[in-house]
Amino acid sequence: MEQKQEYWGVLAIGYLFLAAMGAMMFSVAAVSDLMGTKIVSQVNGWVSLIAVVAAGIGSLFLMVELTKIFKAYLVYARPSSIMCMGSYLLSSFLALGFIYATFFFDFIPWADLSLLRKAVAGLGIIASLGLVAYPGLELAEARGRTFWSGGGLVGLFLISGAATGLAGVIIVLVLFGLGYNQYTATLSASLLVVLILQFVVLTGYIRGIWLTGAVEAKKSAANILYGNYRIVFWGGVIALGTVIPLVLVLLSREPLSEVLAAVLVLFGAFCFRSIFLQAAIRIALPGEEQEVVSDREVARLAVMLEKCWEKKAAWLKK
Amino acid sequence: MRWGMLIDLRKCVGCHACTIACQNENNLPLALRYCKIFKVGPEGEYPNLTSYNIPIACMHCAEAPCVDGCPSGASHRRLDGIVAINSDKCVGCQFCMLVCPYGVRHMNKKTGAVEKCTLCFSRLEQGEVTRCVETCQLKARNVGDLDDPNSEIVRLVRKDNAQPLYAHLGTKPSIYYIMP
Repeated sequence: MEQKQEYWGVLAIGYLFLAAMGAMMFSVAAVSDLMGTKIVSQVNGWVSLIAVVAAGIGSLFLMVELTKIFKAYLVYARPSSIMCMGSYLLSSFLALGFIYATFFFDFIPWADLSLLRKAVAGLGIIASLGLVAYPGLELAEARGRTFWSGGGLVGLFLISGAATGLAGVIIVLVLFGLGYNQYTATLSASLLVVLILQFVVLTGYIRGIWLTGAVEAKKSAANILYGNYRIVFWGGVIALGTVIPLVLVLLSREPLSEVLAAVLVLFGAFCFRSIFLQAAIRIALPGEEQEVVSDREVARLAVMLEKCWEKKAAWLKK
Repeated sequence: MRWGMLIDLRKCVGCHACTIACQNENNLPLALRYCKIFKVGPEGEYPNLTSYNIPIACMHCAEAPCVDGCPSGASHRRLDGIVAINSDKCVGCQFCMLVCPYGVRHMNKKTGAVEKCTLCFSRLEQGEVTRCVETCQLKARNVGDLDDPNSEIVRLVRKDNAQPLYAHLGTKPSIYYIMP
């Protein structure tokens, strides 16, 4: 019986985190632009570039995890698959995010075409929201991992993604010396609201699974609340990733504390993806819980045995 | 045409002969098993105790999450209902392993492709039975056409009210079990 989800590891977690952060940083920047916020012209080019680079690094993580990296183009082969849709969304976002960024650099010939810029921003927002939301649908396809079957998973990924996007943009603004600014204050206030929402939805999701889920889903929830992931959940997601940033944003408008809060939010979002990806155990097969030796141990013993046979065969040949 | 299998758990003694035969047929390394045998029980309260062995391999689901989720089209469902993998197309994303509710897919590290039970489709195409069916000394396994109402397998499924494993998941497996 599974103790944790073992197929997708730290690279997949890194991808989910970076792609969500990049996509939502872009969304925050593009929405601010569409709303006519003046200050965005100073930073949106760089915010979009950073967003594209972050998502790009995430996609590299995903490619590294493939066993046949040179056949990675095949992930576009079957558009009806949710993973394939995700690949298209990621590619669209990377392209649109990069094109959008170019509008903010004066040496680019089309930098003055504001209507075109807004159209690209609109399309980019659609792609980025899709990119943040689709992991929720992707994970829900695993019918045997009922922890992911909760209806709120897509919303949870979107809310957590929004928090990382806001945090990412706040960090860029402070780095650009725009910490004492109405726009930064608005983003901090938005982060406050999103963090409260995240806390409510996250605890509600786990509580809902705990009360109504299948046996395996309850075990997953128990692992998060009281088991192997309790330190990461309570320490990383709740304390460092939610409560402390909330207090910092509430009590201080200093750029340093805003950056600290934003960094903690990013850390919490990484922890959230880490535990949500690993904790979902598969429905146990009849008798599987009695398996004394795990598959990994069987594989290790089998390799040892095969080596012994090879040695004996070599000795017999002598 | 829809190939399926019926496993009579009243007959299976858990000898693992099918597992070994399958490994031989598919030339698998020692650690890789397409078919696993789990021992269930003893369950219940004395004196009403029960214990049985259950072979688990790919269920060749009609609505297979692995096929729906495969981005490259490597996992596919053949016209005869068998879920197969095209190793050349498999990119090794392991999404199929993640979504399979039965945990019967394995990554072959040598080939970099995911593998699983093929229901010996090449043998079936030649009019033979699968290697596990051939090997089972207790005749606990039957393979046949689930779409043919007059086939032996359909008759046995009806007679003994055989059920697929975890039918509630909605994947419509093609492997049926007669429970003890």
